[in-house]
Amino acid sequence: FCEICLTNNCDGSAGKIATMIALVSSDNERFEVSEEAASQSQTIRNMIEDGCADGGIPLPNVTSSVLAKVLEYCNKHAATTTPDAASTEAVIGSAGTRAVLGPARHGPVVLRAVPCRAAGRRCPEGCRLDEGQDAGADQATFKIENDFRPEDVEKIRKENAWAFEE
Amino acid sequence: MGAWVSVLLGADGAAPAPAGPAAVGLGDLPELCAAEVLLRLDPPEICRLARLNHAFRGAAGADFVWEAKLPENYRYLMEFVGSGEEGRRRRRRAGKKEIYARLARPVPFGDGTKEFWLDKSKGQICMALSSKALVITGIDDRRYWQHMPTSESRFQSVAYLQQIWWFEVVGEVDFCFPVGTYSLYFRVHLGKFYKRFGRRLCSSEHVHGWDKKPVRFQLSTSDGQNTLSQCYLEEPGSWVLYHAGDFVASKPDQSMKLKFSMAQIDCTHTKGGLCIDSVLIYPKGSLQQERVVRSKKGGCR
Repeated sequence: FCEICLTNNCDGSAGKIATMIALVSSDNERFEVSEEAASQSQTIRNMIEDGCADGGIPLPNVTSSVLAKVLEYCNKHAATTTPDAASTEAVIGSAGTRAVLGPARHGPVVLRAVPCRAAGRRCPEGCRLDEGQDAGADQATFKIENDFRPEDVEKIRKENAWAFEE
Repeated sequence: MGAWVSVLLGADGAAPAPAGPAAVGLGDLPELCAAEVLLRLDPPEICRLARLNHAFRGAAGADFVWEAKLPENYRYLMEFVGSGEEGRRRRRRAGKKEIYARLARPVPFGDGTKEFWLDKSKGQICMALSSKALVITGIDDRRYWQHMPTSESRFQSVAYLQQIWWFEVVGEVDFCFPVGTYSLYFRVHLGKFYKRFGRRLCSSEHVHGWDKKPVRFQLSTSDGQNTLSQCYLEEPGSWVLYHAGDFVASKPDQSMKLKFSMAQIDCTHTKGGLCIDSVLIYPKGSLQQERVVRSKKGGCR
């Protein structure tokens, strides 16, 4: 187990002359990660460049268990150059409420701590839930495959119609 | 949560990871994750996302999602729904989403003269008290007041004043309000209205006396809150909401008695030509449409 890239299959390249950055979770656990991995977050990268990262970067809204998962993800993708899974990140909600969704590997709660713009990744723009968009359009927006039978679709419409009545 | 967590973490590398490039998408979000997202959205948005896929549909029906949207005293509120043994049985079986949906529709009480409902987006209580739930001085005297059936009232009937010296409309309600600040309004219309050949027409034949002295509004609660204000009635021909005052509810499990009134009892002049539809209670700041008039504070004659 490599403590620098937090994986079992480290090829040693990530950590060779890696500068380590400490991320401190809400329950005060310190996670040492390579600067390269941590810099996937634009926010953290800015802090590193501004020299604010010396004592460790506090993440008061992330617990240690959650942070561990996030770092696993970041380390995995620091090694790759293709922006893939992150392109599924999306911000949904209407004015006033926002929920950031992300790859299934991490619950959406995790991603609230990880800025949408992890370095180099392209996020689809925030999608407002506009009135009148039908199910197919929503599915296309979020790139979700329709796994309903036609008779289910009508059932779902009926069981939720109350929320849209005047 | 145990089972799906170990799958996600890829315990022992045995996770059924998709072949090829890791194309993980929102469609792969497990139901519990989807539910965590929905927790942060409001009910119409939740119901809309139920259409995305099976995981979202399941999440959109999750009890813990809806329990977070319901007012804290939803069990008390549900007591007003349905009657007797059948009602009790239905309430016991209902999931939290069903409860929310039911409370979002008007729930009558007080023999049908009052009703409350949840505002769909915010899950806050709103209430309407019909003219028949109010104590109107002289209501039984046809020289002064009549009940007028109309579809312009959610109770299908308004009280119409032809002419009177002593104008006083008093009401009270005893209720456990969820924590929050509420505004109380009188829904009033100067002039008589009717339909002729499909068009709405107004007659101000009886309208008089409202420009002589202002009408006084009063609101008080059983825990000592008190508001007194006054204003002149205006805008004949349309429904106006006169803001009688605000009150704060801080104990959702304790019943609060509200007493409120609208009066013009200066007997040196008569007044008339007025329709009283209802008294409305809304969470403070939630009303956007309808003409609202804020009266001036103070209790001088």
